[in-house]
Formats: sequence, C-alpha cells, structure tokens
Amino acid sequence: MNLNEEKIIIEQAKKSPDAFAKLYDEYYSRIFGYVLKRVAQVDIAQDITSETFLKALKGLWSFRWKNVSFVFWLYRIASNEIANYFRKQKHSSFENVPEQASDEDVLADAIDAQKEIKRHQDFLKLQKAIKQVSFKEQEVITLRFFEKKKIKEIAKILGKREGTVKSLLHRGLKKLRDKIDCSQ
Amino acid sequence: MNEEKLIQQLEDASLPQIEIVSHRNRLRADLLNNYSKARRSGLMFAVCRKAALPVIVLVILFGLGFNNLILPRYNLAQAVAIAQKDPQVQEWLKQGAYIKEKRIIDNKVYILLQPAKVNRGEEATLSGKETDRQEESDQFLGALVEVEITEKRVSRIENAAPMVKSFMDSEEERIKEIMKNTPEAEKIIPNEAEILEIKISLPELEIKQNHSVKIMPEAVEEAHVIYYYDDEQKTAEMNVSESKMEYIEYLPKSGE
Repeated sequence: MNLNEEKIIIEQAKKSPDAFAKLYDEYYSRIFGYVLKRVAQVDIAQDITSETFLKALKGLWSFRWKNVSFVFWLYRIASNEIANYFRKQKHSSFENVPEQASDEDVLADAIDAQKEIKRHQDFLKLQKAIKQVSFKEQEVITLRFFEKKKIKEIAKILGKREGTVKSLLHRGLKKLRDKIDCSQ
Repeated sequence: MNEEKLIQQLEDASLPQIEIVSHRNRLRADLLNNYSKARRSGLMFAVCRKAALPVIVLVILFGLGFNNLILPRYNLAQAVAIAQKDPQVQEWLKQGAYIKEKRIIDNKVYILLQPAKVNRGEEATLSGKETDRQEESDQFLGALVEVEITEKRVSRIENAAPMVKSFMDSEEERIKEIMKNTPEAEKIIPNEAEILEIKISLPELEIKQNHSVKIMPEAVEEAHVIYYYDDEQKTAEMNVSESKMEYIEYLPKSGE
C-alpha cells in the first residue's frame, strides 16, 4: 500500500468498518511482531497488541494525516503500551502470570508460539540484555535491528530528532556491550 | 566485544516470526463489533478537541477585552464621578475648567483638569498690561486629581506650577513682526491699530509618567495679541512655536 492509497483508506476507515479492517489486516503482523520482540512473551504480546489496535480505533477520528505511514502511528501507540506494561511490572510484587484465555484455541496457539520463541536462544539472550538498558534505548535498538527500521523512520515513529535517535542508539549499544561482556 | 561485533550479532540474530491466527481473527472481530461505539465517542472527542482551541481563544479574548476595555472604562467613569464630588474640583469646573485627560496608572485613576482658555474673548483694558496681582495668584492653572477607586475618594490634588506669564521684549518684537507680515492680519487689522497687550496663553497640560505622575506643559506656546482701534478690540491667536497666526477674533465692546 503506498502513501496515497493509505491516505484514502484512512479517510474511508473513519466512515466504514471495512476500510478499518483493511488497515488492521495490513499492519497486525508488524505490530504483533514488534511487541513480541520487545516483551518475548506471547500472551503479553497479544494483550499489548489488542490494546494498541483498540486505542488506534478510538483515536482514528482525531488522527490527522501528516504524509507519514499510518503504521508509524501504530508503532508509537504500541511503544507506549509496552512502556505502560513495564512500568506496571516494575511496581507489581507478583510475578507475571498469564491470564486464562477464554478462547481455548487462542490459548493453545499461545503455548505453541511460546515454545517456538524458546528455540531462538540467541534472540532471547540479546533480548534479555536489551531489557537492561534504558527504555528509550530499548525502543531504538529493537526498531533498528529487529524491525530493520532506518534512523529517519525511527525518528518519525518516536517523534524525536534523528540526532537524538543516533545518540540513543550509540549509548544503548555501548551499555548493551557492557551488559553482554559482564554476563559472559 | 566491540561495537561492530555486537551490531553483527544483532543483525544476524534469528528472529521469531510468529503469527497467532486465532488471536488475529478474534481481535479483528472484537474491533469491528466495537466500531460504532468507538466512532461515536471518537467523533465527540474530535469535535471537542477542535472546539477547545476556539473556545479557549474566545475566553482569553473576552477576558482581555473585559480587563482592557470594559473594566477600565467603568473605572474611569467611576473615578470622574468621585472627583466631581470633591468641593475643590467642583469649584474649578464651575470656573470653566474641563477634564482634559483620564488615565489609569498603577491601579489609580489620574484626572487632568485644564483651565478654560480665559484669554479668548476676554476684554483687555486700555491700561491692560497692569493686571491685579491678587487675581493672577488666584487664577486656576490646572490640576491633577488622583482618585483611589477601591476607597472611592480623591487621595491627592496636585496644582500646576505657576508658569511664566509674559513674553520677553525680544519675543514680543518677533510676534509683532510676524503679525505685520501676515497677509490675513493685514486685511483685518488696520495699520493704525494699537497693540494693547501680548498675552501668553495658559499652556496645555499633560500627564507624564517617569517615576511619578506630574503635570507638564506641552511644547506649543500660544500668544494672544490684543489690538485696539476705533473703540473696537480684536485678538489674534498665534502659534509661537510655529510662528504663524491661527485666527483673528473680534472682542465684544464695553457694555455688550
């Protein structure tokens, strides 16, 4: 979908649920994938993805086209939801126990998916180290290397200047190196 | 580990490509089922957000308008009413003084009283240069009245300082010369007319604000040249600063 097509669909989505469904179908995988790489837990990723799209739906009528892909806005919402999740986790004295899914299919799929993740040990090691740097640095590293975004795109997603993104990336990588070296 | 090695590791990491179709479909259905409800609240929020800024601007404009236009005018009107109740001010107003300016400075209202232009139409005596010294010292020259709105009273009255009341000889000669060479004056004032008096007008006053409020004379000086011929008096008003005649006026004869 190019930018012009996307712009038209967004305007249609404000009037028609089918048009909104097109946007959802286009971007669900990307957002779920991003969230999963940030939290490395399928059930949490599902919840955060659901919250992301729900907020996107509620905010659709206030959304203003700025000649930037809609998915960047979705990434921003997802980043904020991830931040909220980590903040709650920090203050919670309980371990994160996944809620019982009401849909058995969803639960079964989630269990299979979690097993699949455990096969990617190199990713999990990196992800564990990434979680130890600052939140802003986590965002930038994940978007850059796991989502393969360019600096310019990361700047648009996070609403920051490119210089700031580069600086966060450089600092984040330095801290990551130290964390990995310490753990070895 | 150096940075390049780390970057290589990050780029080469095998990333999980997981898709949970059941969750995807379930979420899609939930979102579309909630579309109408979300649309209603979303539209309302969008309208409120759009209206918020104009409403805020209107409120600010109204507040500014009230504070800068309505409230000051009300305060000025109140201050004039308070000043007019003061016996001294009442006396001056009866003598022909008028309110030249009103201003709000530091939460107080200052009212500038300008004396009437007593030289216009005033008959001069043939021995006009000698005036009664007592009358001169009693003459109202202007005043600044300070009014406390909150206390509803006149808190201070400052009288204008006595000004220089006559021209120097050299200035008088200059004025006479200007009048002689003014074509309009030549037509109306016969050559034989006698100059009874050259009076300096009471200067216009203004409120100036440096560190305090004062009465200061404005720069323009006016002279009144009173001519007498054939039992008739005429007065010519001249703008001395610009060296030009403003007008000529007939003065009423004695007994008129």
